[in-house]
Amino acid sequence: MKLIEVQHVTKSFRGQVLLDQANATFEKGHIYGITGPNGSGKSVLFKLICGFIKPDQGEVIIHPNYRAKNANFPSNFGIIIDRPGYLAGHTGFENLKKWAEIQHKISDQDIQHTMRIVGLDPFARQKMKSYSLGMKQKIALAQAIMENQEVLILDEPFNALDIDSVNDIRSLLLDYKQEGKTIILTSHNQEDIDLLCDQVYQIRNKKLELVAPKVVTKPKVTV
Amino acid sequence: MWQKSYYPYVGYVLLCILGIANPFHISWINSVTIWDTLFLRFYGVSVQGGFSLLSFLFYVVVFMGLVYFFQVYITDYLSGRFYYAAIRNRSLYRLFTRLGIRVGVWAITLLVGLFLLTTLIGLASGQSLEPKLTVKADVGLYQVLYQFLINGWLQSMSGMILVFISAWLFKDVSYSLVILGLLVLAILPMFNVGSWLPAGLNSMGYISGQWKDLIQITAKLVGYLIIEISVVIYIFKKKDIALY
Amino acid sequence: MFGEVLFEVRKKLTPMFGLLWLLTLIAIISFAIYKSQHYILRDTLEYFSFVLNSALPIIFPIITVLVYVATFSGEVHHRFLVYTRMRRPILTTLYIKLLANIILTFLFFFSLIYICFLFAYYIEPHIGIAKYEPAGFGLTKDNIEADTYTRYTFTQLLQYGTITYSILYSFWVAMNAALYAGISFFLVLFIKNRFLALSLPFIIYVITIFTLISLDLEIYRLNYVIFPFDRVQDPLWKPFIPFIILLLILLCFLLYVKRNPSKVDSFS
Repeated sequence: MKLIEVQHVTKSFRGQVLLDQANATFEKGHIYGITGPNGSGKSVLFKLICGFIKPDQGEVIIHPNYRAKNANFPSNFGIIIDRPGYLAGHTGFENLKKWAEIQHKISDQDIQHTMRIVGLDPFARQKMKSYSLGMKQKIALAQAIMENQEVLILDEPFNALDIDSVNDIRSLLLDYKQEGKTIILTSHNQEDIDLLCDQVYQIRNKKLELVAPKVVTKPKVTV
Repeated sequence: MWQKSYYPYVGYVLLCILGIANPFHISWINSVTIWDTLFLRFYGVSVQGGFSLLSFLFYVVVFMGLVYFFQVYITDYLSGRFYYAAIRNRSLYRLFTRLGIRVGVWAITLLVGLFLLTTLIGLASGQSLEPKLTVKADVGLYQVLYQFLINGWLQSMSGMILVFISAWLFKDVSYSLVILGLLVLAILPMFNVGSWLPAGLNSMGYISGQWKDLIQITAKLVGYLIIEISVVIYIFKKKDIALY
Repeated sequence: MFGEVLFEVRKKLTPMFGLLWLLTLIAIISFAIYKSQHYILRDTLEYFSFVLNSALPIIFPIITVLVYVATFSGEVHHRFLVYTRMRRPILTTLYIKLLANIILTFLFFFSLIYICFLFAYYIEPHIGIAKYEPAGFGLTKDNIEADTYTRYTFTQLLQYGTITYSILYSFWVAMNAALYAGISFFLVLFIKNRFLALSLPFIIYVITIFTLISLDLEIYRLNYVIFPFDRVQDPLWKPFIPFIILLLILLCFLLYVKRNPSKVDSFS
């Protein structure tokens, strides 16, 4: 099933073209990687997919199961975009709870479970302003997955994570793929792309190009 | 459990109490009924009457205080974490509507709370509940209540939507600061010539005794709300969410 | 260090700075011109008070913050300040920026007030916008000068000449502006929420004035000690009381940061 289609999308910012006639198709149940140099437009592409910004030309089509006709944003999408956003004076759990209260889909126990999955203590009284960058990133990850979102748009999800956490999250994403979830991620670490992605798109010279899926012997991800 | 985050609200309530119960305010002597206190304390500014710095400042503290709390909230909200809130709402309109309902309820709660506070303080000071206004002969009780509750609510909503628009449009918080200053200045009749700006219009000082003047204020505020909401709809349609 | 302070000051003397100054001046003077057409005034001193006593006393703390602290808050927020630590001791950087802030804010307001004075005393009388009828206030050529000496706080200085009064009064306003800017500077370091940090001086200003009036302590209200045009004259020492209190607050902030740089989140 075609979940997301990027059709002839062009986007400029302040006169500078970032994406020129970009085309891509994302199917359900796969992991896709988006690569490219810094400032090439990966985050912009994600914001276009999520509906936060509109293309100058072309369109981004989301399957009707995931975006109602008059909706600005797709539903059932978990995202990590730009830098972590949070309420500095609250704990990690409190931050997640505030997001969860918007849709009332999950309970406190679900939040606690998700925090444990990403390697955080749900009962820690530390406020987020005292969190390390890695811990903030884990909160960003937690909010992206805690409501059992079916589509994950993850901009540099492994940023600032320790090696054990990286392995854990890789394993988690592969499990999610087995469950039929769709994941689109960016990473500057080629190993993440090689280990996880079924298909890779590269942004080069404002163009979005499908890099032929590499046949690699994927080493078993250690947990 | 008293959390640090509640302190600003406690301070706000204390300031409201100070403003209502202030025995040094000359109008305290004139208040016979609680309606007199309601009228005099929330006098704000007036086109015809004289200017009282205390009345003006109390108006700023109470009504701009609510707008300011919202402004602090929204400038922080429309930062990195906004994306994670937005994706959980189907659309910006839905998000804005939910936000609007929440601030609408805050505004009603504030107005009712102020009314009850004024009543309690007035009764404690020996003022009567008799349904009449003694300080201004041609002004009716229902006009005071209408101006306080209806126009008060509309004015509060107008202020909050204006700060929302400025926070959305201007990433730099300096602009929000300038907007705050301009909103405070716009309350003053010397700047709000003809009372055409949506600021300070729920002051009791604008009650002339004629219902048509109050209805005119309502019409102005409703008109401004329509314009402001139209601007919000337009910027949601046209502008990218590029919050930093 | 003084060279670095001058460098920092020169760096901030941008066209935007000039524009902010010019817009403020034009706004103040043009509003005074518009408003004065509806009033009959005593003399040029009253016109000068007229020029200053409209918007400026209310939004004074906002303008003091916009001069320098607003851009400084961006440096703090985006952690630019953190990365100066590898190049120069953080306290040195802080002193340089604090001094630059104080100098720039001082210059901004000194020139603003002084030019308003020049306009009221030397330009407007030639244009003839305002209507002067001192006789209507019971003033004649013989007693008007003496009346000016006792009219507002600080006009006691008119006895030493109008230039002396204008320079000293402009100096007073500029000093207060620099003080507010200095306090805002530290609030930006202590408070993570940028808008809250920048707006707090204005909020505290309004709340303090309101509280002081409510408690019948009008003579110490912050707008009056800087723009003393809506009350009878008070002795010259009285405005210094709030000034000294604010100065002590500023010094406390400075001492705290000097002794506890590791506790200031904005430095790391």
